[in-house]
Amino acid sequence: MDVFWFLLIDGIAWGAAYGIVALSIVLVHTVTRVVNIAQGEYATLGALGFYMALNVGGQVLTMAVCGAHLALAALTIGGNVLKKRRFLLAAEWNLGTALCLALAWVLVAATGGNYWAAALYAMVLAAAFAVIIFRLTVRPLMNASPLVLVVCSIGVFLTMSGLSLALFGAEPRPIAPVSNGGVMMGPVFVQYQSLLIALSSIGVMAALYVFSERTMTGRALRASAVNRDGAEICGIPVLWAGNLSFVLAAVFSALGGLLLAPMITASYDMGLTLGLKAFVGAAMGGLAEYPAAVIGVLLVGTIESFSAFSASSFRDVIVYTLIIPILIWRNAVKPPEDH
Amino acid sequence: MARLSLKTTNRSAALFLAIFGVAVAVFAPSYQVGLLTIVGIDTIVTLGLTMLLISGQISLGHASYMGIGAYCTAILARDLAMTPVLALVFGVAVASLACVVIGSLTMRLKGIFVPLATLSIGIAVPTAIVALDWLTGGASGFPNVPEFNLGPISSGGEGRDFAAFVWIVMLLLLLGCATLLNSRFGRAVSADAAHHDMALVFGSSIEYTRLTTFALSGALAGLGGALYAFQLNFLSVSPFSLAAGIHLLIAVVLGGIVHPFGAFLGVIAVTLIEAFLQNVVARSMGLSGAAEMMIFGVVLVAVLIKYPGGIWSVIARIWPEFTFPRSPATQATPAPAVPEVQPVHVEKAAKHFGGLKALDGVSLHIGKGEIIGLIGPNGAGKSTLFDLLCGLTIPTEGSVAILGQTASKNLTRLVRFGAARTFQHVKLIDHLTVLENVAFGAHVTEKTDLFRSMTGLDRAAETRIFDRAWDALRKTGLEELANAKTSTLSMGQARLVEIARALASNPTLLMLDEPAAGLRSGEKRLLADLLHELRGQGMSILLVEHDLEFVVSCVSRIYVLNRGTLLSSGTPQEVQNDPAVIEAYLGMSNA
Repeated sequence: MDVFWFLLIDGIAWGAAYGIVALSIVLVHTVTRVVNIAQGEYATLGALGFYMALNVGGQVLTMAVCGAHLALAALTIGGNVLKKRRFLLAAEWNLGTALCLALAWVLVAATGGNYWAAALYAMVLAAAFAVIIFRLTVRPLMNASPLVLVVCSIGVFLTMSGLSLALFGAEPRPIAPVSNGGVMMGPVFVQYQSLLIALSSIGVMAALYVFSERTMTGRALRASAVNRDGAEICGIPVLWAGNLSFVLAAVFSALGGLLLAPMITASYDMGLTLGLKAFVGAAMGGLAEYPAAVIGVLLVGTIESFSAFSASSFRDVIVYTLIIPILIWRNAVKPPEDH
Repeated sequence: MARLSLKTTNRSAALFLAIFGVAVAVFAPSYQVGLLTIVGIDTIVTLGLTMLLISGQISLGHASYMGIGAYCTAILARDLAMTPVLALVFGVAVASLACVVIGSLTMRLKGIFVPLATLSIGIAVPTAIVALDWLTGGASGFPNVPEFNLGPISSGGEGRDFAAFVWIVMLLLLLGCATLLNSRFGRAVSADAAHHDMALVFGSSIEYTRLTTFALSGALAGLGGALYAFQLNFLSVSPFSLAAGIHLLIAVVLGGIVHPFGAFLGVIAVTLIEAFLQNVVARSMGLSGAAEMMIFGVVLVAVLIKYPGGIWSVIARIWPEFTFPRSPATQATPAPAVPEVQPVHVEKAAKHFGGLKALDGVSLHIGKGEIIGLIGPNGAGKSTLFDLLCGLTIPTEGSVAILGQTASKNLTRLVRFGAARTFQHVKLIDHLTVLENVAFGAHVTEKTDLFRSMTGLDRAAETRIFDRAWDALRKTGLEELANAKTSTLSMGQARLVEIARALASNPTLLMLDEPAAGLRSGEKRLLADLLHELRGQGMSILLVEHDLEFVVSCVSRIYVLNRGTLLSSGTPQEVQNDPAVIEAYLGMSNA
């Protein structure tokens, strides 16, 4: 019986970790229609950026990313001037993220790699990448078919994964948990880190749920996904909404990555598995519903931990084959909307 | 100077490449010979994926089927000591079957679900291959695959004859797929990808088209895998992983998703980029893995954004378009025998959507050689009635019989009995010519199969189909536009092409959904003349129209629908003087 509880708690802990990325995937998909295969890469970036900041590294990377933002902002502003549009139109994201990233790095340097400052820096770094990627890949393909967007996100995945490898190297990086030790929950010992992941996952889900269902901005985001032209006519800035969703998703995924890193060691390829399992879970809700996505990832986590125990070499076969019946069921009950 | 036809150009290109390949296989150093074999194998697999994408499907895990073919062949040849050729045939068959089984599960999925499903297949299959280590050798690999032997060809030694063999097979398959896309089956594939409901109405079964494409695509992947097993003598799972599937997709996108030759170009491009990275970048900078991922990623995104047609779009500018010679037959194809039954017999039909009665107790009859108009204000139930007649929906109550057939959900059936329709929102295949679009209308009049279509043995059937298409163009006065792309047509021309396509199916009952919308008055007069001529040949015609003047000039009787019920019917004169009609149209009582 202890084994059962152990496997269950273990499964839920992993499910919660996938959950944060799964929620990011759902957020990006509901707002921009992009099925972002590269979402897990933001988790990698979060974990490795966190490691880098803990050791007060990354001046060059920070400057390069800020430089890229300033260059993009200059291009945008130049275009605005030529076309006699509002000066700062669409450049505010680049300028804003460059500023935030620089400030976050200053904070890291000033505190000498403080745990929370480093976490903040890692999330801002992921957001900074998200803004660049949105500007370079999603904006030019605003009217493309969902299939083209998927293939494009595969290209982004390859680029980001290669970039992580080039920036941080292939060897895994150990990261200390926020606090060693844990607590006995019934017969099972649960690490504090697992609890933190579960709490963050719940927090992110609650925030997203309230945000998208209850606030005006959240509704605007959803409207721009359902009908882009309609939303545009109603005065919802669709580009702005897309940008916001990319940034929020990147921040959440980075958080998930840096929280998970102490349990698996951070490495350049950690995002792929994380992202794909998050996809399997998110598919449960058709990549469109937050609560169903959470149920999905918890299922993935528990199935994974139980099948690892009883048929370990077939663990991934079982998890990934599971998506087919889920999709067929979902397709019959509530098919994805044709855009 | 007479321009080369598409067929000649395709064949000349293939012949040139064959001479080139054989020369390399005979004279080049053995490293280049090995490269030739690998390019040939990669092209065969990529071709499978290109065909799938042309048909509007996608597979992110296509390398899995290559792996299934490779392992199957290797296991049969080594562990069961099967003749290599036989093992290869079995391997291809199993891969093809696997693709069909998984395809039959995923083909009903919509939108983003398809890439997700195929993505997980792409992970699950290689993982399963590793997990089945008692059969496949698991992570340590599968050594000692026997040599391939077929007559004088052997994969042993330097493998020069094997390289030439693979290369020739690749070229034959490229040509076969190019021929296939310009055949009856190819038009069905295009129709399914563009407007699948239109494809159904003209008698092309979506299941058949898609599953056949899956079978072909899986077989090509399996063949590539089997050849790969013989070439390397050793198998491991990495060339069949998700990453390999993504590489295939990159090759397809780079080459372009229009012409099968794009697959070859894509493989060449990917091979060149890889060689460049390994020989130049890795040597000077020493980060080949990272650089390779980044460069392929950037190239993929850049091609999608800036050059969505891939490399083929550059070649397409000088490559000839598909044309079919003007039919020498001057006499019209004989009008179909008019059936004994009444063409349309609708008795007290009703259609309810929940509580909404879209149609209630409507009876409508069309006799032989009769033109009937169906009119009514917006929301009157015209579209619902039209859908009932086309078999798109079945009645809640009452009976609908079209050419003696009762209404059923089987959409592909009616056209075989001689019922054809047009679409209010024009549904043509944009990248095909007018002639090819019209030829798709004649889909149901012939039967061909995949093998005959790939080898060009369907010439006789194709000629008969194009005879019908030319005849339909002649009737509708569109001969001059035969080789124009449908995307360049005006609205009026596009509507005429819709009618020509319906005529090509050799119908006895023609159902036209707002054919005059968007037509100029001259065009309307020509259309009216055409309809009278068709009626003279015994055809029954149903017109659903808004343009009352046009309807009155064509029809012998009019049915007026309002709020789901029949408001009035009779000759145009009677209907025009019916006070109920006037009230419904002008919205006031007869003051």
